[in-house]
Amino acid sequence: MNEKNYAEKQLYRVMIDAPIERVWSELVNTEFPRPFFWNSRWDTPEIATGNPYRMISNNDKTVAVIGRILEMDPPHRLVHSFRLTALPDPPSTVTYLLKEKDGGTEFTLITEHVLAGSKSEKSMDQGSKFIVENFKAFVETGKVTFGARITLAMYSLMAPLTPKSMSADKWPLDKSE
Amino acid sequence: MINNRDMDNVFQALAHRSRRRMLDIVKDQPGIGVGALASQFDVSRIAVMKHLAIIEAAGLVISEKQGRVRKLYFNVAPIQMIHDRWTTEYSAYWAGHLTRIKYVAESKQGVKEKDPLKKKESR
Repeated sequence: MNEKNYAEKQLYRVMIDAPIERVWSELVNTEFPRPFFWNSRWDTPEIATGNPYRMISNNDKTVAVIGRILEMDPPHRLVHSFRLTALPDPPSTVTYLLKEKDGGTEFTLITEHVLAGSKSEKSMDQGSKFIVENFKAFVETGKVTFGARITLAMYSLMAPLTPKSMSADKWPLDKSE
Repeated sequence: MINNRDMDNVFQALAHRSRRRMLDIVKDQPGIGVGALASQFDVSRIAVMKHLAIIEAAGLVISEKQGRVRKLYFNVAPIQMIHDRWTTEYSAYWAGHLTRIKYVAESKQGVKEKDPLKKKESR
């Protein structure tokens, strides 16, 4: 796979009105479902460089994303590989950058090594918009946007229709890339 | 939710034809250099830089220094947040549709005998 097959990286940035330490701790919280990650939870021994992770649904039945933590520099930088279990595309790279600015936190999500023209590219673009907007709303107000709450309610209704390919038993942690 | 000051900056940035064209170019060519962008405009480089500073301050463009080149990337987030402020009704509309699709799918699986979609149509 050469660089030409990849889409140019994309950046998604919001200003969050909260101290950097708080923004960081909400991002890497492994205990509770993250509404801005479609109510899935980090499932990993620990968010630390080299460790595998998967994004698992609250009922532990569905895994939407698997990957490995590539870099970890609290509270400024988290890099991980990212593969959507529902799609056949190779893993890409996701970076979160946090920077103190004007009394708040500048939060940037970067997607790289995404196969150009793939379904993953489309899905990650939609997903990144959802994440930055709702992460900001969640940290600032304690809840995600109204539109996102409707989306999440709809998702839980649709849960029985989740493809079997995303079943958690098909994606054990040690299969993460 | 995007605050009023940030929103003012976005609308101010968008309220100029050249700046909108700059955004189109950066969106279509992520990573384009400042020089390459400026070369597509007839005005002076200084004028281009001025416009660029305004769209960057509004958060619509993110620049990254790579060696000697300053590369530009479109940031959709501010526009996304403005979009959502006035369009959540539509999300509800689609959520309603998808819920009905679920009912149909379930009725086809034999989970439910009645198809609420058909019921609605027959009214």
